[in-house]
Amino acid sequence: MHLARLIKKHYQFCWYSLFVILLLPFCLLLFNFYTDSLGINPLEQLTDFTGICALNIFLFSLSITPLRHFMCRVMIFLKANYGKRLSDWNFLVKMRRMIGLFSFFYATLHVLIFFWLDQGFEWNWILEEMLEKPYLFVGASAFILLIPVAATSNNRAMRYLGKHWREIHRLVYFIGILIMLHFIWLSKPGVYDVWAYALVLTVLLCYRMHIQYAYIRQRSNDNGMELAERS
Amino acid sequence: MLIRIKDPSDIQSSEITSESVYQGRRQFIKQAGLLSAGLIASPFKTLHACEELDNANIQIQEQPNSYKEITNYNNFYEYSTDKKAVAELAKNLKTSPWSLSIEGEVDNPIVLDVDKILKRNDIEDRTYRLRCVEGWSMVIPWQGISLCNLLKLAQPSSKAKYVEFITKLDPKTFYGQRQSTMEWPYREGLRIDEAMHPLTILATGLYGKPMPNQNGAPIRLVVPWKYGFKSIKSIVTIRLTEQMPVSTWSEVSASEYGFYANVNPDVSHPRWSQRRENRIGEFKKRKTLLFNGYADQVAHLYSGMDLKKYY
Repeated sequence: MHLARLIKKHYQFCWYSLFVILLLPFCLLLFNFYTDSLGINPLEQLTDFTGICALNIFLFSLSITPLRHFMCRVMIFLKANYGKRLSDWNFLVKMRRMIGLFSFFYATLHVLIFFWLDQGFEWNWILEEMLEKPYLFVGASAFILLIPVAATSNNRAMRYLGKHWREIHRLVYFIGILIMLHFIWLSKPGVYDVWAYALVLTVLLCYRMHIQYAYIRQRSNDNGMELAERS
Repeated sequence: MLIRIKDPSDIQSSEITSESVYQGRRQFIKQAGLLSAGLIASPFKTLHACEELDNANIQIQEQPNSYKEITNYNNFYEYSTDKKAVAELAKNLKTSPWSLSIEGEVDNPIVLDVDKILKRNDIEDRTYRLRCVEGWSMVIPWQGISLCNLLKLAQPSSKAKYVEFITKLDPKTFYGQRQSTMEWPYREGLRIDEAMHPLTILATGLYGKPMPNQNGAPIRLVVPWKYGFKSIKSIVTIRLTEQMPVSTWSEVSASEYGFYANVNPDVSHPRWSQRRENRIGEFKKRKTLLFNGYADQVAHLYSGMDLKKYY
């Protein structure tokens, strides 16, 4: 099993492939838009589709860390001679930036469609609706919080911000909860898709908490006599 | 048990003056004077006379939606919560034979054969706006029969204050009824004066064709000044009641879906904008009109009522 090595070797190719895959929904949207095949209610279709794309890709970016841990476990189980160390899967982390930015791209489309096509840039209306509908309020908050995260997704910002970079990017966990509230509150009774997404997000966030908890516990037990990773 | 055999010479309960009318007799005399002057309308009408609708007043300038739009975008929870899936799923509905029972506070409970209703000669064309609570709207050329014309066959009694409508319960056909989304069967209700209003119809077809299954075949209610969910589909029972019936959606969430559910841009909904609407087939949103543009015809039914309280 040399999967990790193979991807690493063809990293450029894999990166571009992923880029194309993540761009496909947008191409599909454009195609449907120009061939007038967005269905009976195009506005609803555009809004829902971009929102769902943004959410799926957002969850994909959150699953990179667990995926990396999982792949290591698999490689250890298979007794593969490469891919057993976390660092063997570092390329996943390198790809995560693009994944996250794609999520932001679809979220931006989603917001633009709402402001432009749905509300016609009538700011009075938009403000009125925001204050009246909790789902819009949390959705807008999530998007506003995503802006600094997306804006600092480059090497220069990482270098400039140092340890604060991580603090900014930890916002995504909170943003995830806001997005889920947005989705739950806008879903009408009898529609259950949202709960599948909520389950996935819960698992991903619990995994984070588990790591954090396990890591802290390990640190407190560390008396310097034994290497933590061997215990 | 006392079995009473009706004597034809008995006074029907619909002919008995109800207490509220009796108590208001002085006012009646006062108003009768005004009425003769043609100033105000009578506060009560005999239930057996159905008002004629002046068709010229409800002519819609707007272009009707296409048959394709009307029949491929349906809220019909008995099949699915997905509006685009209903047309395909509803193919299994058998609409004949179908009987419609009118019962409850009536002097003459009847069970009507819907196939016979479809052949009646008082079926009219009615092109109405339909405004869904979800923020979209259409213009639909219905064919139907004034609900009043059917109700009078059963002779509503003086106790009949409300009308309850019930959709067929048949989880074998209606896949959606197998899920506990809501308490099945679907029920809706109107106040008797709303039910007797000439705008209220039982629709039997659209675009001159028999009612498509996904639109609520074979017979459905259409109340154009209320949100679409009031216009219950595939009806089997119409029950006249003294107490206000509980409608299914207000059972699900009373704060979101009231009994009246009149289209009103000033009463907001937590999910959907009620100030504007997305007319299917149009790019820009339209302003939503009070009573869906039928205020001239129906506003008097609610005079003195706080529409924000009784939404």
